[in-house]
Amino acid sequence: MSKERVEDGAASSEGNRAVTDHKPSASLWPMFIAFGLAIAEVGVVVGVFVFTVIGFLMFTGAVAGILAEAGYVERPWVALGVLGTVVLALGIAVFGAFGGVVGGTELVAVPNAVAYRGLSMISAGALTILTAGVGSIRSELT
Amino acid sequence: MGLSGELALTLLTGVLVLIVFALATRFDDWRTYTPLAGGGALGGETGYGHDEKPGGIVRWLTTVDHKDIGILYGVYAIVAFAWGGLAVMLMRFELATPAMDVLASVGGRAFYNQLLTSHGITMLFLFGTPILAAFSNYFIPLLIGADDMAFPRINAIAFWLLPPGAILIWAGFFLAPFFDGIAASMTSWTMYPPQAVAQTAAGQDAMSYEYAGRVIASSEIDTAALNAGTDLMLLGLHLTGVSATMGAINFIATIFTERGSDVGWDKLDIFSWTILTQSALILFSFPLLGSAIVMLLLDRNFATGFFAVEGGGTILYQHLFWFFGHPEVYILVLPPMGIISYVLPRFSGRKLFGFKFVVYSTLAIGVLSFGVWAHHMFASGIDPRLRAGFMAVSLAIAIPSAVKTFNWITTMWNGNIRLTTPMLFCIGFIANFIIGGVTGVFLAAVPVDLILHDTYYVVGHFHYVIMGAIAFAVFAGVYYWFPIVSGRMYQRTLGKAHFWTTMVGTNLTFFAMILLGYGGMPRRYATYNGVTAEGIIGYFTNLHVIATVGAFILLVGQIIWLVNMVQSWLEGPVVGPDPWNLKEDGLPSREFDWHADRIETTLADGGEPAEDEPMTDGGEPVDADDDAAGDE
Amino acid sequence: MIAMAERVFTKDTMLDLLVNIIPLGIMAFFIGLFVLWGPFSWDPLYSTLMLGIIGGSFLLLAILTYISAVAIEGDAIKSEEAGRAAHAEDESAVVDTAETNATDTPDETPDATGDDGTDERKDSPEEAV
Repeated sequence: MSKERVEDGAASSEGNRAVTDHKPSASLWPMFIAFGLAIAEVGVVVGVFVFTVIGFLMFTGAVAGILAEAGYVERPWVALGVLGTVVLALGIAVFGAFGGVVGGTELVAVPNAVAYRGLSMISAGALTILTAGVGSIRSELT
Repeated sequence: MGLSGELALTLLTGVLVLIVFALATRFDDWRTYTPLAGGGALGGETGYGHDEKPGGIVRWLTTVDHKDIGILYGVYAIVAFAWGGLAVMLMRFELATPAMDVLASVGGRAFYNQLLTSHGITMLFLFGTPILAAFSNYFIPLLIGADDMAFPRINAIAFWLLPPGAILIWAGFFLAPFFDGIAASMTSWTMYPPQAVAQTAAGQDAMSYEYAGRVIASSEIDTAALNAGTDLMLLGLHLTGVSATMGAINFIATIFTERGSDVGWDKLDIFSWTILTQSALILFSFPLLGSAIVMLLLDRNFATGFFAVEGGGTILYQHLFWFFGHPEVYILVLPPMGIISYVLPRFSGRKLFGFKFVVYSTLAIGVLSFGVWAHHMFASGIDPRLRAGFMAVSLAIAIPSAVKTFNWITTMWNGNIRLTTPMLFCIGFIANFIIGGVTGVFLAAVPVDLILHDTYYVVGHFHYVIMGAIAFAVFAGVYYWFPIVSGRMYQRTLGKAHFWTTMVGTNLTFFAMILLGYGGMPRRYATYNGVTAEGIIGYFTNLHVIATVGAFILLVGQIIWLVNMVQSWLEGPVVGPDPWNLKEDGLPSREFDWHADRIETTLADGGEPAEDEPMTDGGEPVDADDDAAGDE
Repeated sequence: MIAMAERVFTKDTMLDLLVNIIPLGIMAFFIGLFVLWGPFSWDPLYSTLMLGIIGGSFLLLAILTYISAVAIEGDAIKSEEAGRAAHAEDESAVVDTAETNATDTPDETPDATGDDGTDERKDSPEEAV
């Protein structure tokens, strides 16, 4: 998959250079994807708020990074925003389905452990979207 | 901690992660290493096959080069091998006496069960699969003439899922000292419910029974009392399963699409064939394991009833598990068979006898392995008609395995055999595999299995295959390819010592287990002082002592191996382009051609000082004869 | 396709495939045994499952064996033909060589893996004796 992109890129940028089957030799993201997935999984299943948020942040960030690096997306911040929205939507679904309520006397009512996990995913998604927003604004400024 | 406190903590750590990311991206100009991003970054001066890599530890953390990832897999697997090996040493010392004594002070039977679980899962998932991935990652692209794997980054992701997986699988041991409610899992590697669904950290049952009314509902499990160590282990297993699946997809794509133009299906080497079949097996079986694990987790944490009696029942789990579990056996054994088929002819001075027999039988094993799973469940009370069906296929699958044995023996027949260390391990493989295989055929027959089920006979059988065959093939591969990976030669005397200790230790340990099984010693017991039958306790004790002595010999052998590997990697004599004198026998192989090319290129480039040695050293004649001469 | 299959499934190939035909035979034997002299009474569910397990494995193995044989021997024939086109001389009996050379190809053009061929006559000095 990455092969064609290489050839395309090479052809467009340096037409005379025949890059055949050039493979990348280093990438920052794979390790973060793996660790992020692991941490997020532990966070959701065991129900650890911090792990959920950190794990999803790391996972979505690294996925957006690797997609940009491989040339599948133009701007990583947009990809990050989309991924964050997915996490947010999942969190809202879980939170809502298991009786979580926003508003009322205690502002955010978390009736059970499952809704709690939904809430942590909501936080993760929101934080991811926030990061994506800040990032894209910054990259547009520079 | 309240919700707001958690939010604050989360924000804090979130900022930390962002800082780490920012530092990491600033640390180096990553575009230098990835020709994909941005056209201008294509370094014009880097020639063919000479991508720049970051230096130091960062290189290993960020590499997507199949060779580096292969080495990472190898190191990881060896660490896991050490963990699993040390766990079983404790168990063997405990079993040397009938009563509970060695482990009594550190947790007794519960600790034994934790070691048992950890040993099984570590050896199968953290050592077996990764060490084979080490070989396939390093050598498949070289053997089929590809530049790298089809998806190099996915390859790296697949590897990096493993360390967190291992940490989670072992997490119970690390956390137990700090938390009362957490201990290492005691479910055994099969993780059968209801035990796996309702076990507390003390090994007790967290399920609230209503015995007389026969209401055993999973919703009545006291989830707070459950052992979180089991949850973490299941999560870790899930990650390793994801990792294996990603790797398998990568290998299938690589072998199908990245073969060199001169490598048709008729020219594909035997190791690549076995890896292709293995990957297909992984692709079809590991998702089953993943699903079963997720269901277990849901049963444990979210009060579902997949494996509860009023749900699918525990036999459902066994079906799901063994539909994965039996192919897993072949996932582990096919690539080693490929290694043997690949290495053995090199030291027999002739090509593999019946190459196509081996290929077709490999594929046959691949298909049939999905039709035999319930032979693990003969004693579970399933319908006798079902048992008969599975018995038929189980007996049929013995043929393709046996055929390979004949192929290896006929390859050696009248050959010009050189008893180098890899060759010794190949021969040891055949010998042990025959014992492991024949005992397996007996177990495939329902009436025999019903007697021997859950005895040490089964343990002896599969250890003959896993330790006696799979690990032997792994060692054969390690020694055979050591010159390519390290550029150096190992110490052959230590190699021989390693072989003989391993061979003797394996047979002492596991043959004693087969005899124990005939005596009726059940598996998975920490003690056997409850045995009252006249005379049998002495029989058990003697054989257990023999097995323990064998295990100790194995331990010594593996320490020798480790010392040899580390020392030779650092200080071994530098090898020439053809350390095994393969050209002489007319048995060239692609990966050693590549090895020779690499040495040549390095020299032509000016190379590093150390790399000049192949020439000044006399290179291949010296080192190769060194090894071969002593062997004759 | 049919012509290809004819060229693929020669006597030599069938000999190579024997290794898979034997397990197929074992499974066929058990199907026959259980149908004709079944030791257990007929049960609509379990007897069907029993025969389905054996029959399904039989079918899958037969299909995979066929596909892989076509892939492997087909490539062998192709590389043989390519080799012949390159040498392009003494083509006397085209049909004949396609059959016999299918397995002989590796000898003529030693491939990089050195693993190929079912030949037991690798010319090592000992064997020549």
